[in-house]
Amino acid sequence: MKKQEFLDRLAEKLAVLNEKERSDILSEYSQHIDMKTAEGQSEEDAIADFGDPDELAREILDAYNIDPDYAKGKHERDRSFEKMVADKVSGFTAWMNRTADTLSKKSSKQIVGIVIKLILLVIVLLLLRIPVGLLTSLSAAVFLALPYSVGSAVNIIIAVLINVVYVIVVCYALYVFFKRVANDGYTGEKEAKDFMNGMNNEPYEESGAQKENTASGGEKKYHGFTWQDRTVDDVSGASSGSTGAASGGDTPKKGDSSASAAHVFGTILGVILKIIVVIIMIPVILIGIISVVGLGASIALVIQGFGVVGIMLIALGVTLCLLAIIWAVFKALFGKKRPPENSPAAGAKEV
Amino acid sequence: MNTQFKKGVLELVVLMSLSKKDMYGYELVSEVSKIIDVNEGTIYPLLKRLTNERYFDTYLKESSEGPPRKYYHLTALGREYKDDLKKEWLKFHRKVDEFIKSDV
Repeated sequence: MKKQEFLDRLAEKLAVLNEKERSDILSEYSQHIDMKTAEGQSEEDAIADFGDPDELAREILDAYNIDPDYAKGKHERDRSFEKMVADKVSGFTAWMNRTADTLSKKSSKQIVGIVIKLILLVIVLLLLRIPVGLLTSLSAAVFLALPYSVGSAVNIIIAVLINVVYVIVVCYALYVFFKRVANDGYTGEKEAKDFMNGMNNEPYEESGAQKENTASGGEKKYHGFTWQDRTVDDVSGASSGSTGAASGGDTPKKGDSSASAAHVFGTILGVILKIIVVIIMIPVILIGIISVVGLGASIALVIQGFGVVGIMLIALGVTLCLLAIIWAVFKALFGKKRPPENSPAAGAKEV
Repeated sequence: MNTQFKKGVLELVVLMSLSKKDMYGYELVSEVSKIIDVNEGTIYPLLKRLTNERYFDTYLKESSEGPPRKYYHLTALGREYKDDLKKEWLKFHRKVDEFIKSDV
């Protein structure tokens, strides 16, 4: 590992510390490495003497009486959706590597480890097929509500997009796998554990859950909130796997380690997922607008003395549920930014 | 040598080293690692902790080569703490030593 990479990695792990404290301790390490190189040692050797950077970061945080796990959680909460996906991708590879390492240690034959890794990889990728298929069929069910020609066209586009994403994931996982086999790089156990915690909350399934909410009636609001909570857990539980890519921002990123490649890839994947979710949300928003109009019309009819109180109440319920879903999805996707798609909400209040 | 042994004594060695003269991080780390063969990276967190507990003061001083260095200085509180720790260590050492020798 080169000096800058080491410092970036450490900086990321110490993100919970304030700027001054962090640069303070980092400058000590930076100076230490400089001194060692001045004495004729290589950067790599000087850094290798420090041992595992994750362990080092833990010791530093311990000196501040900060629980490293909590620190990580707090830091991760600020992260964007893209970052979260990026973390998952690299955390996933870390977990695979670690699991296989533990298994292969007993046989102490590297080849066994590699075979186990490959089998694990294939199993996980096949499992990933399930949420992908679920998402495709759910979107198919939703788009049948649209006029036939439009619905099927949108369906084809979405199915293609989802499958393209899946293929990219598979290719990337295989690429990382073989790269790791070649490098036999180090991966932290912690990352793996955290990743496993977050694993049930794959982004695919999240969007799937959203769609289910659209289909089921009364509990929507409740679902919306659990989903929000889950997102929080997810983000705090997400591993900080993308080690090379420091989120600190105060130190320039350099080098093309597989970790920062994972970050870049994850970011792209995150954007693609966002686009897919936004496309899927379009009919939901349309239904929302229709229900708002229906609500307005039924209120007007009730005022004029027609006996449509029941219809009005149904329209009210549907409207609220849809607004809750739309709000939850866009809040999860765009964080604090106000999504323009929230306009149905404004419409509801005016009517 | 057992790492737990080392960790326990490390603090005392750091305090003792600094009681002779003020030192900057790398100097102190090299000094300490001459006595205890320890992962040098783990000494910096210790310096940080002892500084946070007000046993050390720090100040910057220009150096002829490279950026200014941060020097560590043992405070009065640190000196007191060092004396206590040293007494504890000697007592502990004596007892263990006696016990080990009685075994022979």
